[in-house]
Amino acid sequence: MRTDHEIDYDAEKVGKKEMLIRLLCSPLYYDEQTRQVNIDAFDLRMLGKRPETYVSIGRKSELETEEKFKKFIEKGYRIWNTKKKDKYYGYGEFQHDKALSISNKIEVNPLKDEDKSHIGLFYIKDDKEYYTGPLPKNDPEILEMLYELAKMLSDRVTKIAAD
Amino acid sequence: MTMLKANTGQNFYVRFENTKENLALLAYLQTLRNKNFVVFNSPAEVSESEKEHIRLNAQIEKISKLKAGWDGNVAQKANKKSIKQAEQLIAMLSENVLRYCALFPSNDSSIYLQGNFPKGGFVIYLNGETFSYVFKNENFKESAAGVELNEKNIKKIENTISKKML
Repeated sequence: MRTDHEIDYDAEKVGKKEMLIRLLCSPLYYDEQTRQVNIDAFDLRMLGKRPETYVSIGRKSELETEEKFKKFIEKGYRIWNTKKKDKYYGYGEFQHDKALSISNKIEVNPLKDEDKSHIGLFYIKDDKEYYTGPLPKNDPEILEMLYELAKMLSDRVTKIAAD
Repeated sequence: MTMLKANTGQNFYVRFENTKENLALLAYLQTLRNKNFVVFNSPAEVSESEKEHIRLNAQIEKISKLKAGWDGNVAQKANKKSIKQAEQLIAMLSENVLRYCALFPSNDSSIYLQGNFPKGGFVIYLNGETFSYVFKNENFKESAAGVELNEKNIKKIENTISKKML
């Protein structure tokens, strides 16, 4: 069985029809002229010496009040850097099963020690493990998967107005 | 003096901000009779064929100035070899292709060229040595890895885009 210590296997699974949210933390993640999301928005990265194991995703059903959504965006600011707040771009929404249809490597799971609104998009490497960051973009299959995820989001981006 | 420069392969452009100092410099430059030197009063005067090269070159310049952490987190700044690849790639592609394209930085210091065409899309991953790519539309897919960045391969890509994506 494929395991990752960050997945909450006891929590309720993410529904196939659920709407999910990916925050775009920098204007460099979206090009307004050609209306494209940077595929890097779905890559895994190195966080210092620790590689990322999932892409942070928001769960819209848990963010239905303005207050909750604002807290979610604020959390994104804290994760990235509070000083970069003015450089935050926006977010894109997508349906869970739309992401799953892109590749059988994609899996969305609830996370341990996180509130229900924060879940993770994982990439399956084999039957034993998940990918860790960064993904091997020299592999056309990985490149294609990231391209499709970014394309899925590209027409569904909402810009966050600067304060 | 803030300047934006772009080398399109055919011409070298420098964009000056509309400041008093720059206007004085431009007034002087306009007096030069060197036929290889032309002053445009606005971007609208630049030919269509050059505008897209200028736009993409401006994106390269922006990416080349990024510092580590540009994503608000731990992204690496773009490496010089990938920047050079991006410059070479943009110089070789026509404005018909470039008008649908954008360049993006990657957290691992590489660069992506992504295209959103009327009938499909692509992504090219420039890792500093070779490149990988994927082209896709509803009826067509082509991908490759470890491709050498040269005129022959780029011409092949341009042909594919013209036939399948536009």
